[in-house]
Amino acid sequence: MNKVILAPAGGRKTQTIVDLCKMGDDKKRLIVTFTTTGQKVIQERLWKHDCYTSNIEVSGWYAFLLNHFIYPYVYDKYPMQSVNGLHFVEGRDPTRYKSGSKRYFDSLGKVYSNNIGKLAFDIAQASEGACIERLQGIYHEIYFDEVQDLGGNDLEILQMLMESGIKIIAVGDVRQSTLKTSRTDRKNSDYNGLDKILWFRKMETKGICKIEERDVTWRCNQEIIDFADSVLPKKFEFPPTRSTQNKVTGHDGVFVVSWENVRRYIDCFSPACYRYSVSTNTLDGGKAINFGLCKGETVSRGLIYPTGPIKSFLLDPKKQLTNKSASLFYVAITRAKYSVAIVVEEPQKYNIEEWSP
Amino acid sequence: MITRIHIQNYRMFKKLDFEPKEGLNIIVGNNEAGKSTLLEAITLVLNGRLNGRWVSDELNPYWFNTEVVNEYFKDIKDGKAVVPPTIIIEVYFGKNDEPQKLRGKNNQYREDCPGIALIIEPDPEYVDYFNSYLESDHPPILPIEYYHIVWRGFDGKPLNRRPIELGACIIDGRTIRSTRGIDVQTRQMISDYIDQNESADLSVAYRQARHSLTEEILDRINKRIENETKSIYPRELSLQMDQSASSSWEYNVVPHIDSIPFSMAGQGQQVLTKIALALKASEEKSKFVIIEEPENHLSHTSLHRAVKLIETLANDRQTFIATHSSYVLNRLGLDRLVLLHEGNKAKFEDLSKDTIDYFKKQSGYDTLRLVLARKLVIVEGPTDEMLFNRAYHDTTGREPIDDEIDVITQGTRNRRALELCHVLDRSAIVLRDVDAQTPEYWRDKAKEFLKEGLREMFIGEKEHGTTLEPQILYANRDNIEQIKKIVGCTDDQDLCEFMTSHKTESAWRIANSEVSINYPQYFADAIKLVREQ
Repeated sequence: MNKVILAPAGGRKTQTIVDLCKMGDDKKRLIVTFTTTGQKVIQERLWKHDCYTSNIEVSGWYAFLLNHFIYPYVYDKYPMQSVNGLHFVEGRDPTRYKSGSKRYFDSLGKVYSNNIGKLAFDIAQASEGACIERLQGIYHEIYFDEVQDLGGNDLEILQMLMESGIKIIAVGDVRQSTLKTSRTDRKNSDYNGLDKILWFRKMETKGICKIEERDVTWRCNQEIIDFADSVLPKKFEFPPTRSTQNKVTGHDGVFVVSWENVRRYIDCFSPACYRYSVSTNTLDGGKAINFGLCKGETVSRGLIYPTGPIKSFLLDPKKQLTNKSASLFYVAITRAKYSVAIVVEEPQKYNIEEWSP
Repeated sequence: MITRIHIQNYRMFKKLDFEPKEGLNIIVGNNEAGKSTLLEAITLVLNGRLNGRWVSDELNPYWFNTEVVNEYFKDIKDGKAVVPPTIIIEVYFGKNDEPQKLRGKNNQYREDCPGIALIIEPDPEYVDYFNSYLESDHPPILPIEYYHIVWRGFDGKPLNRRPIELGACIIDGRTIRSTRGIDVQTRQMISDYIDQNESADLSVAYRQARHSLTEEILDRINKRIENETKSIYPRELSLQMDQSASSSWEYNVVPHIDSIPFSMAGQGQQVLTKIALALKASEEKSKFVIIEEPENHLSHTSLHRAVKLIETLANDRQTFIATHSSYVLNRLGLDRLVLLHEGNKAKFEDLSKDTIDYFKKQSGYDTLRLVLARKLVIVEGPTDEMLFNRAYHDTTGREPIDDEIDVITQGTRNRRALELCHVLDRSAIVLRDVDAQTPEYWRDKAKEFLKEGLREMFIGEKEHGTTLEPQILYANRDNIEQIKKIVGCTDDQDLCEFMTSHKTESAWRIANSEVSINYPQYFADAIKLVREQ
């Protein structure tokens, strides 16, 4: 049976995939991840666990669609089109006023990344099952990491695969729905962000997958994960997370730090610093990683430069964060194993312990 | 298995679309008909390599079909804008064959199956150079330096190396001795024969041996070199073992036959050894077997063994054989025949099982002559052959062979020969004795294989004699004395009886006589038709 494993940050999602690769059988497996970092992480883990064989392949999502849908069967949908790789779309949508095949291919035959899901889906349908039949001939099992990042037509493809003879195992964390494979794909927009959970539940009702929700984190200690859980909108009813991280370091849990003490704090604990975006103020304009880019990381300690809405929420929990901000904040909090500090102006106003030297 | 091969503009193949059979495929054709080229094309597209070198290193303007290139340059000269010639070689596998990864529709027929394509086309990045070449005062030779090679699966993805699943054993009876003492294909077969663990052991031991050689002996020598050259040459000079890829064990381990190095063994032995190696290579590593002219360098008995081995080989692997030998063809079965003629493939199917078995048993039968002759005259015996040749010469002033007419003696087995010609839809002229029947009787018996103007039977009138001798006498009834003189029959003997009992001798005398005689009308009719064909 196909499985969707939803687990919190530090819930050993990637490890689950690596463990599946250690079965020692002859099955052909494909692991699809959404970020290039993700691919590297998986490959390194496979090497480290001594289970990287020629039966295992690791691919990015775009490469997966290109190699298995678009290249082999593009002619079924666009008979005269030649395909020549990917056109990665950042910023302005170059396909906005285009129609027909021009919505999907640039003049060199490169596929626009923002419409690639729709193209792949159209081709799969035009091929009358050949795409899926071909995949069935190549792989026994396909694993998807960070499945929460799929959206729009990607979900149609995932559904198609779940309905095929290939065993699909998807791991992810809806709480961390911060990325989207396409910003312009409007299909399935009811299931964006944290609402993705509803899509998985729909698939479960259809009987094509089982959802397995895990509630354990091996990374963050209980205080951190409780805090992280508390920033998510209550309406999604995510189960509370338990922690197995019992290490005590002398500085554990969640803290607020005043701007005056940030330098001391950094000197003292060398935390990894996170911010919402480049426009967020940091200490002396020092280096920090954007919330959206730190997914998959594990650090001992984190320092977060919050946004206005985050501060308002922390001061008054009734002022709930939007789904997207909540996800991003959740990701930033859950990087750390032992401590998370949030930089604020008036620490005494917060219901959180203040750190001072 | 390979279900289809498409070749376009490659050497003599302007266009070839060929659907090979499972198991054996025997490819015959006259010289220059494209036998070797077909096998070469299969090797090329499966390996991306030719004679162990990358296609791009071997590419040559003469790979392109001459006719197509000439047409192209004529069009260019006439000021027409035309697409430059492109070589396409594609192999198609069964829809559900491995590797499914190569499946897709990136092929000429938009067929959904795994497969590999090799395309040699103008490099889009060099289009401007290509154009300025055409605008310059250029010779009618394609500027291949502006071409590039695309080697990809039908899934549309470029290939870097041959997919493991598509191993091919190549056995070339024409053996070119390599400087390494062993040709690339054979080296490949040896590597394929050795399994992964053995290969790892060999590799480690080989490296160790080389290492100790360097450490222990070369080191000592190098010290001496250093001392002696220091003053003359300021740089460090030393002797080291070659560490390049060509120094791996594969290049230094060579097969021996009865303790004689492979390259020193007889070429016949080499061929047999290669076939035996191919037979033992794992099926995965040799899905396809390609054999060029196995009959070369083999004595009759060795050939017999070789053919037996090939039959076993073809049991579980698709095998392609190019041959000149009727023996090989007959033994392996006519139904496996692929006939190439000037770059085209003749249809060959529906031969009755009976006839196939018949030819299988007649391994000495000259089937290839029947198949390959440009024009064909089938006669009953040597007498008929000699007299037909002479009659032809008397009529035309030329020998049949000068006009590409092959006169073949078939005894009374002409029915089988006719069936074969019928299947090939080729021309054939049959001359036979009327014997105790009528000409109509014989024609009616062979009716299904005859076709007016193409395949006809010529038979003497019954009232002029049942065999050739009385027919000759009838044709010369006004000049019997001359015949008597030519064949050397004395007056006290009956001429017809004499000629019949000295059949061959008489015919030989007539054929070599200074004077010409008359021939039966059916000879003249046959000669007329064969000249018209």
